[in-house]
Amino acid sequence: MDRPKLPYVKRLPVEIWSECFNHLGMREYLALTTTCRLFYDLCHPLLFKTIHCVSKLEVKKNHTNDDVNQQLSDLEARMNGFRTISNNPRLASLVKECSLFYGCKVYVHADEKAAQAVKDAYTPFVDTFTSSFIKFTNLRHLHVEFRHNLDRKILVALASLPRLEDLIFKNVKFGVHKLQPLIKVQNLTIDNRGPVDSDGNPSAKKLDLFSVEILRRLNIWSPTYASKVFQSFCDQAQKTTIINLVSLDLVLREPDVGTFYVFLKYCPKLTQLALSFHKGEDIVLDPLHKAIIPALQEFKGPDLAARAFVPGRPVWSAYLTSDKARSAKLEENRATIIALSESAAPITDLCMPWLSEAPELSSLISTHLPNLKKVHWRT
Amino acid sequence: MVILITSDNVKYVVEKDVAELSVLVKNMLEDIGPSDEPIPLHNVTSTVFNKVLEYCIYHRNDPPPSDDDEGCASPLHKYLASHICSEWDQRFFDVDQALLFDIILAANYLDIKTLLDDACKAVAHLIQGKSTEEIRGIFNIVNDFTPEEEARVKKENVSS
Repeated sequence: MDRPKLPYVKRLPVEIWSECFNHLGMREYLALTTTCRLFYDLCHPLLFKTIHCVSKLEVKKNHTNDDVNQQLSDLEARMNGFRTISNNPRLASLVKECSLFYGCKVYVHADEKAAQAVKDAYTPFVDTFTSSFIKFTNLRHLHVEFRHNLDRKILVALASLPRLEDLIFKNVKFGVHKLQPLIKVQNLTIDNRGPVDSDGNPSAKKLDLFSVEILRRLNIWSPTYASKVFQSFCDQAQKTTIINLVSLDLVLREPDVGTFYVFLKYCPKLTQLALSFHKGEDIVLDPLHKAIIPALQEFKGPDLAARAFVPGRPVWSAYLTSDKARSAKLEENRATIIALSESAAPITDLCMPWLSEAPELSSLISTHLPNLKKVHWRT
Repeated sequence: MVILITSDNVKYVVEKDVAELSVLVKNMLEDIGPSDEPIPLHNVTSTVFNKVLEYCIYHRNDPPPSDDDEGCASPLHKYLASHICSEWDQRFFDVDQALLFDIILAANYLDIKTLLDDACKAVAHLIQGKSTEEIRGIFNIVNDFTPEEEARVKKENVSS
């Protein structure tokens, strides 16, 4: 290109620099905003795109008051930063994603006064968060990890957000099970796959916190709460059909199968279903009547579940898992492949990771699934 | 076959499926219909086009990029898509910065989305983990902030 050599910054169009910066993280955005005016203009909005509200306190046996005071003053400084952003409408409008973390660990034999001080920091933390984050008018994604019964004030604030797209709970415990109005969100995830999946209110049968009205994607990896959420959604479905839910991903426990099957009756638009069995234990599922989830196109999960959910529905993609002993048996594989062949749409995309160890299945597959276009050996 | 001529008058005879990875060329071919007329590439030199061609030949059988993968791609897929390049791509973009920028401009002009995306990732890779001073050094950036502006920006950053 025969043209005068411009400084690098000016050689690329602004939109291309933006595209480059999309691949970077907060640390780089901080550095880029202080390099020059152009990069400041481009990265400043990205810098405030995601903000974090974190309280992670702990008091160990050997902690002195100074240690604890340091933690508390760090927390105060972070909360001041959070307040500063939320109180500045220009900055607050830039925030698209927010993560909230609360954890407080007091070890045995810890100093009592110090323990009390960190516990006392809870209410101001929650109050600052709830009063500040509702000012993020463009907030779309919220990630919540809360090592404490999730505070009602937070849930109430969530229900007031008009345009939340993604709400992700990780390692949470719900004490409050009833809310009015409900939280409206497009994509809801409850991810309690870690060691913590405890019930903050075992006597409640339903988790009436979320509205099914605009829900499109539901990921519920929490045996504790899956059934309670389904129960709540079934109740809501009595008044309004679940018309927006297209994707469901869950961990299923045997006692919850009944509620799960009832819930599926209300999901006519579901096209993607992914599931795994709790603790990897097999659950033999009854075949699901083909009038239920009639739009299913993609299935991901155990072969036993595929046999129940694929026949009679227009499934074209099946990603399967299997138990080691079962996957070694030709008859079991035959039953699975025949079930797949009963899909109302031909299966074109198949993943059976154990296929490479069972070459005899190839002829079975080519006979029963003649329309395959892609076969994956790994999930 | 398609004949392409770069801005420094070098002629290339390129297989049609490779040439059509450029949306610009594809549209021009559709506009002019069946013809042996060479297509001029006014904004690309042969040095840069050699690289572009190398990329297009290597990636000719890749599935076309999707404009709307927001709905179906998992966060993990998105992460992998934005962070992982093949070894071949890493070697391909291991060039001096002037050429890397020229490849970006050529990909933008020729409208080759995958090349543009991958080249942008290569630029991002240059910035990754670097300090303000290091970034200024890499791109010969002159600090054009006034001292007051610089102080304000630094203060703002503390609260983020």
